[in-house]
Formats: sequence, C-alpha cells, structure tokens
Amino acid sequence: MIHHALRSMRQSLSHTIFFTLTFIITSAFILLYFTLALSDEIGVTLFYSSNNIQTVVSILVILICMVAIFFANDFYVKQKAQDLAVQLVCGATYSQLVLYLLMQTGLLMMIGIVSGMALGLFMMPGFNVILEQIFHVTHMLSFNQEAFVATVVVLVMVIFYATFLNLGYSYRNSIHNLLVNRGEMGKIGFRIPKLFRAIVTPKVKGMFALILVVMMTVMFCLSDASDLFGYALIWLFGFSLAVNNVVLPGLRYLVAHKWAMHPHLMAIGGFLRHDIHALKSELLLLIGSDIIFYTLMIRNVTDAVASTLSGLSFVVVNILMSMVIMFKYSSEVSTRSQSAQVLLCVGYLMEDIDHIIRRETLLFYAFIVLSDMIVITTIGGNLVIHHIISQNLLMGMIVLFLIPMAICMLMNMFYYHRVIHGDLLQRAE
Amino acid sequence: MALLETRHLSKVYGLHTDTEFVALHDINFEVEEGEMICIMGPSGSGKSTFINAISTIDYPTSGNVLIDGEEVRALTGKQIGRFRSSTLGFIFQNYNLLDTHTLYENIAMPMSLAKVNQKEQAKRIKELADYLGITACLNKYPNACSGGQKQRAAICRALVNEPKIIVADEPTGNLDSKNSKRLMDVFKDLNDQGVTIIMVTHDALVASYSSRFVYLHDGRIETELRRGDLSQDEYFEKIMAINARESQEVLKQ
Ligand SMILES: Nc1ncnc2c1ncn2[C@@H]1O[C@H](COP(=O)(O)OP(=O)(O)OP(=O)(O)O)[C@@H](O)[C@H]1O
Ligand SMILES: [Mg+2]
Repeated sequence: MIHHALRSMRQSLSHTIFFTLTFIITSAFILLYFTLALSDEIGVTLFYSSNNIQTVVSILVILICMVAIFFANDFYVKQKAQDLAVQLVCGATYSQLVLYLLMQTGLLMMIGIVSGMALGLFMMPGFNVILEQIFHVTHMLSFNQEAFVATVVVLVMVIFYATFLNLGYSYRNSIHNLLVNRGEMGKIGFRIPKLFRAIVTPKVKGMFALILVVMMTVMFCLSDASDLFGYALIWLFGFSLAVNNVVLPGLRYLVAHKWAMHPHLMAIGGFLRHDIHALKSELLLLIGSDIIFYTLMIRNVTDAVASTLSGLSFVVVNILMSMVIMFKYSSEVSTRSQSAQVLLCVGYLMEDIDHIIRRETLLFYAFIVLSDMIVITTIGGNLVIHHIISQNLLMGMIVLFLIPMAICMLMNMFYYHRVIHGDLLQRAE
Repeated sequence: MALLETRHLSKVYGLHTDTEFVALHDINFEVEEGEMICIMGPSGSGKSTFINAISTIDYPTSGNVLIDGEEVRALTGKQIGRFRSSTLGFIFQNYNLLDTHTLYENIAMPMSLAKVNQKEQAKRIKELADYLGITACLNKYPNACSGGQKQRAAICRALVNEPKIIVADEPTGNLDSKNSKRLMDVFKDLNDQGVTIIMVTHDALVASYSSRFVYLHDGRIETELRRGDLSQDEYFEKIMAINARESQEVLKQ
C-alpha cells in the first residue's frame, strides 16, 4: 500500500508539486494572518476572547482557508479519480482508501507546513513594509509562538477534513462516473410546477436577473452605508441567476450563431462556458466574502484596529480565493490535452491552440475580475464618499485584489500550456 | 500519381525505451483516387496506426507519406491544417468529440474552419443529422449521449465538409445493423461521386462494399485483394476465407 501510494505520487509529479506549492503559500499566509491577528497591536486574545469582531473575522478567514485547501485537495483527488476507481473495482475498502490518500496528503502536508511557515517568516519583513505604507503602523509582525500553534492546528484539521470529504464524495460517486467524467456529479433538478415553468421562462428569469443586478449596482452607489449588506445579498442572488440565464445561454447562442464562422471563438466559447459553469460557486464565494468583509468594516467604523483587521483579512481572503480559483481552473483544464488533440485532427494548428488557451484563460479571469470589481468599486466608492474608509485603503484593496489574480492567471496559462504541450510531446515522443 | 502513398513506412512506439514496439514494418502502399479500401486484421495488428500515419493524424518513425506526390514532412503547418479541415474527413475509433461542446458545435467546427457561413452550416448539419438519426441529440453534450450517438456525430463531423478523402477507423463499431447499413449506403454514394474512402472494420459484410481489401498482420500487409469483376457475394466469401485462416491458426494452437 505504501509502495503504491508513493508510486502514484511520482506518476503525477507535476500535480503533486502544484498541490504542495499552493499548500506552502496557503500555510505562509495563514501564519502571517495569525501573527497579525495575535500581535500586540491588534491584541486579539483569540483563545479566550468573547465574541468580538476579531473572533468573527478570524473564524471567517479560517473558514475560507478551509475552502481554499479543500479545493486544492479536491484538485489533487480528482487527478486520482481513475486511480481510485480502479482500486474500488478491485474491491478496496473505504478505510484502505482513506489510508492510501492520507498517506499521500499527509506527507505533502508535512512538507507544505514546514516550508510554508519558513516562507511566512521570511516574508514578514516585507509585509511589515507594506503594512507601514498602508496603515502607518510600524513593525507589526514578529515571531509569535501562539500564531505558530494556531496555524498548525488549523492546517492539520483542514487537511484531514478535506481528505475525508473528498474521499467520501469519490466513494459515494459511482465507479462509472469516476472513470468517465472524472468525478463530475450528475445533476438533479427541482420539480417546478408546470404553470410556473410556463410563465417564468429562462428569458424572463434572465431579464429579471439583469434588472436586479443593475438596480442593486445603482443602489450600491446611492444608498446609505448601513443598508449596503441587504442590497449586496440581492445583487448576489441576481448575479447568480444572471450567470445561469444570461451569461451561459448567451455564450451558447454566440457559439452557434454569431461565432459560427470564427473557429477560434467557437472553440473558446465552448471552453469558457464550461469553465464558468464549473467555477460559478467559487466566483460567488469570492464576491460573497468581499461583501462580508466590507460589512464588517462598516460595522466597526469607530474601531480603527478592527476595521484595519477587516481590511487586511479582505486582502488575505482574496489571495486565498485567487488560489482556489486557480486550482479549480487547473483541475478543469487538466484534461484538455485530449481536446487539443481533437482540435488538431479537425484542422486547427498548434498556433491556433496556443492562441485559444491564452484567450480562454484571459477571458475567464476577466469575467471573474470584472464581476467582483463591480462590487468592490461601487460599494468601496460609496464608503469613500461617506468617509468610512480612506481613498488609499480602497486603492490598496483593489491593487491587492488584482495582483494575486494576475499572478494566478499567469500560473494558469503556464500550467495549461504545460498540460497541452507536455502531453502532445509525450505522444509524439 | 497516387492520391496517398507510403514508402517504407515504419512506426515504432516507445523508441529507445524498454517498451519499444514496432507497430508497422516497412509498408509500401498506394491509394488511387476514387478507391474504397477496407482494412482488416486482428486486434493490435496496426490498423489504426496505419491509417493514422497515412492521413497525417500521426507521424511515421521512418519512411515517407505522400499526399498528391508531396512529402507530408515538407508541408507547412497551415497546409496540413487545411488538408485536415477541408480535404480529409477522419472518423476515430473512439469518436474524439470535444466534451465541452454540444454535438451540434462539434459537427460545426470543421465548417467554421472552412469559413462556411452560419445558415449553410445549420442546413448541412440538419440534413446529415436527420439521415443518421441524431437530430434529437444535437444540443446535448457528448457525455450525455450513447456510444452509437457519439459515433454518428463523429461521422457527421467527418462528412460535413464534403471531404475528398474519408478515413474511418471502425465507423460501424458501435452501430446497430440498420445504422451500419445506412452508413455504408452513404459511403457507397460518396464513393460513386468520386470520394476516396479508407476504412478499418471487423465486419466482413461491411468490408464487402470495398473495391480493395487489405489484411494486416503484425504490422505487415499479409494479403491484398481487389474486387475487380467479382460479385459482392463472391467477394464477401473470399474476405471470409482470409479471416477464417486466422481463426484456424488460433484453433490449431
Ligand atoms: N501509443 C502507443 N504506445 C505504445 N504502443 C502502442 C501505442 N498505440 C498502439 N500501440 C501498439 O501498437 C500496436 C498496433 O496498435 P493499433 O492501435 O494500430 O492496433 P489496431 O489494429 O487498430 O487494433 P484494434 O483492432 O484493437 O483497434 C498494438 O500492439 C499496440 O499495443
Ligand atoms: Mg484500432
């Protein structure tokens, strides 16, 4: 079993490296975060505190970290879907599979935590400089034992949790699905009354969604700061509806009609539609968490430290979410070498395919960034006008949102390119 | 001049590794325009490897492949791309559809490359899909279709640009006898109009539609047979006899 686990890791070396890298970066950020949260200036007494704002923020950050690692792990496990399916066919039991996966993730976890914390320590001076620039606080971060303990505890818990959850999912999923769809789950529809369905056609839903989004965006600019949270929730609902009933059908229409004579766009459109569909929940989570941190900032206007912490959490969470998106996207495109093969056979050239994957990745990230930017800029602008946050803070937040996204996009392009060229080279030997 | 030609074609998988395997040995073969060639042979005899190599889907390890007398290696990427999208219609053994695109979009793709306008695309897809009975699945994704439906979609994709050469790897492998018959009728019609067809099959009846029969064994052409003046029945008998030899050898062992 151990032998098998090690061999399987070696086989998917690039995935393993990718997984470990994200893990290292996540660990580094969590460490930095806790160091900050537990620093004297912020003065959180996390373990003994009553339900103050710092605790709420910390718990949120931890939750989102868990989601981040969960998706990293999910990506890793999906790569193993066929592997697992074969073992299931051969009659492996649940506990055997848990052991098998934990052995792999456990090893990577050790490497990841140790090097991640080292990286975190290494990055501290740099972060101090940034903090000084934005918040005018000097020397906020320094080595803190409590932060180390908290980081290790959180990470270990998350890893175990993620492995079990992902595995449970694989185990419940049918072997056939694991083999064919690489673990894509079958959809179950709600039973909606016929009359309702006849009136509320997708077109009506789409119009409704668009109206909601536009109206709420206007409200973001005009309304009083304290009402923003409610509007934001309605916006999020409208946006979710709009993705399903406007963006995806729109892409479908474009591919079949408007783009019928543009071979590049035709390929990109289909891929993009698939990516957006697959990453919709991550996108909603990204926007949702931004909204929550805004709200926390508003609620604590009087408390400078708490609102600083919220601002920082906003940045950290956006970095983590960028990584989540990068991972999920990677796992979506990890099987695209076969698609590239098909495109080549149909008559596309290698240059076409390079162009297609670059454009697809760019457009995908543009969609994510634009959607989130609507919320960040309109609400942020409103808060600046009402003097709840400073202009510099807003600019800082936007920049610190864009930079990680851009880095993740480049990493994704690189990975995508590797997936396609690596596999094709292997085939051509 | 031959339409397609191979000279001393060899294909080695895993060259210079410990799993090195010679799938094709020094094959010389010519395809004339308007022929309908059927390739049979035991599983693993190199049929797919051979038709992939002769149609630019794969590259040989050594030897030459010529299209209209031109060496494939000397063609630019653009020329090969154009050859694949407008001259060649290739049907894969495993369908090879994009699972991110609906069947309709999959079929439309080569037409998009050939700059066929949208109305014409819709018209041609409708005609072909109606004939092969997959109109109802056109808006589905391949994962939601049966093997035979996917295979028919792959056939539509190969035929939709009215290619001059059709290369098909077991196109009837997942079809029932009614749909197989329909496909063979389509092939026969196209062939009568001058389209060159090369296909791999395990079905001797399907093979009896061809004008030339090739039997591969361990990466070599073992037998070649031209239909000439034979009736389809007689031709079929001969093809059966060649296949039977293989079975008899298995029995003797
Ligand atoms: N990518 C590959 N790497 C290594 N060996 C290969 C590869 N593809 C095919 N082979 C080997 O080459 C030989 C010929 O394969 P090919 O796919 O051409 O057979 P085939 O005649 O089409 O068989 P079937 O009727 O089962 O489709 C087989 O022995 C196979 O194992
Ligand atoms: Mg084959």
